[in-house]
Amino acid sequence: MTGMNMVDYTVEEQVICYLARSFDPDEEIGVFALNNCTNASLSLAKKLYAPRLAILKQSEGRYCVISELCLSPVVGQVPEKIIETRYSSEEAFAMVNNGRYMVIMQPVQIDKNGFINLSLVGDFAKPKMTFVGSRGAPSNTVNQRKTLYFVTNHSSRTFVEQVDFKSGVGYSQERSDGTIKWGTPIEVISNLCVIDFDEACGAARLKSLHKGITRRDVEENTGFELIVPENVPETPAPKRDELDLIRTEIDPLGMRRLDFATKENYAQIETEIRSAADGA
Amino acid sequence: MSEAEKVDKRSSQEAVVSKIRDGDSVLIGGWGDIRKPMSLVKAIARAEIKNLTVYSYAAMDLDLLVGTDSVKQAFFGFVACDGGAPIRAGNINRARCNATVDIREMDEYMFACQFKAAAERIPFYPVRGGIGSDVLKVNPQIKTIVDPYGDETLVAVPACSPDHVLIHVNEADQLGNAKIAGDSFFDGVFAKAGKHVVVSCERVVPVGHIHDADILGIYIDQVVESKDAARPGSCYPDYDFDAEACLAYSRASRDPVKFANYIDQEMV
Repeated sequence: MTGMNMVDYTVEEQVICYLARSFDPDEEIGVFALNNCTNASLSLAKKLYAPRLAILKQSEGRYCVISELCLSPVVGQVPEKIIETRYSSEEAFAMVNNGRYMVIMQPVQIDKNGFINLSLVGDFAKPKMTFVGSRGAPSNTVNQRKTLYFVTNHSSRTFVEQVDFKSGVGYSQERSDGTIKWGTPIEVISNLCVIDFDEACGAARLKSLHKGITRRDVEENTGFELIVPENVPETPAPKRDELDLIRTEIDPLGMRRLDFATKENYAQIETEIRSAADGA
Repeated sequence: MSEAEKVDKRSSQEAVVSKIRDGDSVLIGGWGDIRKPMSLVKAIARAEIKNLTVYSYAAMDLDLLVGTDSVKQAFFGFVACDGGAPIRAGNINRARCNATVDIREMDEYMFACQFKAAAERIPFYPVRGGIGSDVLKVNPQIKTIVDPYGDETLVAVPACSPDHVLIHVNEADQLGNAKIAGDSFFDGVFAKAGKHVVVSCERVVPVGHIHDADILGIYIDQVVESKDAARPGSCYPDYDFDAEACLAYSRASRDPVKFANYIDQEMV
């Protein structure tokens, strides 16, 4: 696929652009992202599609709203010049409860009905492995206007028939009978594809495939039976202006490459980023 | 000397710890790797107080107490390091996998609301988060309530008043008025919820120096001056986390023998 009008891009870039376009032009909420691609998406969305988004970060132990983000390997702080304002934890939870907050969570497990697990693998009383815990997922998934998930390693260990612990609420009885009004899971964006949910039955459905990925790749790496429509399109390609912003302003060091890295190439990519950062 | 200055809540760490008994409940302030009263936490471990019920937005604080076999039950909203410190909680992971500690995982906001209720002397605090999740399944003590004016089902988080509350701040005066330079998280609420409330501080400052208190002295029983007390975590702007020391802790906590050696060296 080469030609005058074709633009070369990576799956990371495709995902960043897809997520950025999912925000409405008048969407005025605080959004928190937890990894490189999703953070890049927020910056791109704010520049091109949703100028009212408040991009949230934590810097030096305090929450802040930032104007734009240039991804960097520095942990724990963001440059002072991009901080629009700081806010308290009290304000952070007020945003959640008010329905003006969205965090793009990365589940340890997600099941066919959109329940997520951030807590453990195995039985709660005696787990095989533990993670950070449910954190704000129980609140987020009943308060957010919509819920999106990001999965960096699409596998049958992550996409399971039923989660071992329900941290975030999927399509449940409480949702269909109106007990839960908000926080509906809309989409899961993984390194292979986009999955959405059939609103009538709440079951996960393949929406689009990323560049170079086949249905079979997705089915073999999903631990439950996905609804697969007859025609599954390719996830939309990035546009020239989006790619320029990502490559020159938002992530010139290529931090986005770390999110889908494998055990084998992670260290190599990290070294390249460090040397690029030193050279900059 | 003014009348106010005759009140002096300054105490030694030992005087604080002497009030904590086996089986008591302890709420630890701060958030993950940020502003944790680690000197008091270590003093509890050193005093070999056992069977504690610990409440914490946890990281190294709870992990250390679990590793020294001081904890019977723990309530947390997470075990994580939002400030970015590379702390891994190996002791908590091991205790959970071996089922040696009764872990009650909660939603982050629900966790704070049990103390909000106690601080306002109301029996419960209504929240939305928890409905439909397993957090309610593993906390059978938490009930739901139906809106008396409508029909929404909410979680009624029961009030909790811990025996002891330990908070680390940047500055405090001898009356207990305290200033937190960064985010105070829920420490102001925690101080109003506890029975015996202690602040450790980087610096004791003269009465009148704190113009805009985050915690009023009337809620505080003891003040301990303890510079660098939150290390190897952070206490902004006094210091950032110490990545090397956090990594050393994390390596030790992965293995019980290494951890015992680490504690022997650290606790001297």
